[in-house]
Amino acid sequence: MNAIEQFPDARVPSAREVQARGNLIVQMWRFTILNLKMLRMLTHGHH
Amino acid sequence: MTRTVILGAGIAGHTAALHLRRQLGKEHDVVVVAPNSQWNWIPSNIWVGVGQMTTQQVTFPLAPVYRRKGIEFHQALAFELHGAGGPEHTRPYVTVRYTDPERSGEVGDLEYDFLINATGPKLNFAATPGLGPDEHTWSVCTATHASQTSKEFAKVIQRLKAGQHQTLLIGMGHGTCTCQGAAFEYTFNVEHELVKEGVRDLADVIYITNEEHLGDFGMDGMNFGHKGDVITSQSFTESIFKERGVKAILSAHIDHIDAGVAHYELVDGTKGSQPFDFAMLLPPFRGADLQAFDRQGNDVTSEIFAPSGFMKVDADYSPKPYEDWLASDWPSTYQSVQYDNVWAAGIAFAPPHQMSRPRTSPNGTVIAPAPPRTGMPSGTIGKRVAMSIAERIKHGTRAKVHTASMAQMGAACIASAGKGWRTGTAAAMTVFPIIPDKQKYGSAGRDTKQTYGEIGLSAHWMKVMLHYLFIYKAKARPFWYLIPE
Repeated sequence: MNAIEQFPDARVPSAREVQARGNLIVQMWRFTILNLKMLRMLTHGHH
Repeated sequence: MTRTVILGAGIAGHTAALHLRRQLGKEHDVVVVAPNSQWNWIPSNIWVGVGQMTTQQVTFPLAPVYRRKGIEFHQALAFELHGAGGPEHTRPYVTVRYTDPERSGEVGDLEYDFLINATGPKLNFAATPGLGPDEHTWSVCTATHASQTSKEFAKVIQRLKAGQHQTLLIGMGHGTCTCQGAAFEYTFNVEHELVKEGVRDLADVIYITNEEHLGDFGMDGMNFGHKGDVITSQSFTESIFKERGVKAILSAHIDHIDAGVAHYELVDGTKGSQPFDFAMLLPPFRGADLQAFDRQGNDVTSEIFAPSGFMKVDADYSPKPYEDWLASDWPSTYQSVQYDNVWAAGIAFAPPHQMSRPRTSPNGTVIAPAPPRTGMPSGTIGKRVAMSIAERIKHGTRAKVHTASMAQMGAACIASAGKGWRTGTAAAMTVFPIIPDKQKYGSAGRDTKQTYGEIGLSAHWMKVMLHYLFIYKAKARPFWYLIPE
């Protein structure tokens, strides 16, 4: 077993994905979506 | 008139106290016993640990909040549980030792009609020789630990700026640790700060963990639904590690630590040593050291508590192999197996087993991530237990029993990977249910429509929002109860 691993086969995000992760407009939209996803989860099950 | 005593003022205990106080009339006493005078929003300790927040920003004094809400507060550590009372007591009681400066060391008995054990974890640094802030490594488990760690981290940055190469080792200090998410967060916040300071090239950041693969998080991994496809939390997490140049040592149990060197064993039995200049390693948890006694004073601790020190509740504790684990093994009411008027909420309840497959090395070393039950589930369980007690007080034994099974509950985890309004990033993960249910959801064990992961600036904003929102809620400011657990 190789003790220290560096994950050479792991996928690296494309330049476009990296840019989108920091784009204010995109992220404001994702922030809204994330809040809705959490609210949806809260309405399910024992909360 | 009734008297409910709550041991602990963390996420579960404090939530239970506030909800119980809100639901009961003033003729009923709500009493909190906690050894610390401060409440701590633990998820933000990772930011204290890299110098991006102060301890004052993640803590506040409990006494003024409890005074305002009419909750009796004893700054004390409970160490004995007398669930059937005793010769000098008509009601059950707990024995406590005061920790506040005015009564330090004083011992007293507190009688109760109902008891919530929300004592949280004992940080078991002693499990690994050399582990902890009193030995050779640092921690972010408490605000004080995190503050100490940030000072040491600042020295690392100074050494890097002076041109010295540094190795930073972050992760799990024992083969049975939990809270991999916190170690993940600290790893990437450290990496983010090194980049900001312009010294990343001279530093090696190594994550050491008991997980079989990255993204396990002690939850047996997750399958995220994404645009009709499924992405495993393993590939999701490995991608972050590769992108940020963080290395990892997987399936490891740290056996002991000397100054600047961690000695570990891997699940295949091989042993190794990892030198470090700075190490933040989390300890394993065990239950608070509460001893239980019957009315005659006989020690009944083993009947009330599991060997781990956590309280046995309505779970199926019969030993069974990983393949036979069921979601229904997990508790739903959190009521003590022995006492009808005692509950355990949050980390204080004994889980029936892990979520991830436990493994043993050829040398017999157990490498088994403990199941996480912090944050959202702790708060939800605390609230549900409070509701059950309030119902019982109002309606007697016919009262509705509220349930909060982690097998029927989702959770959200926002794992910070760097702080900054424009440069910050975090991984937002939702999971439903927390406990894998392979009978209901197939081999994935979870609903892929509600199990989801995403990385970006928006998740960082969410983490900041939750920081302020939950501190507002914990301070019991107007309409606090509208904020979900």
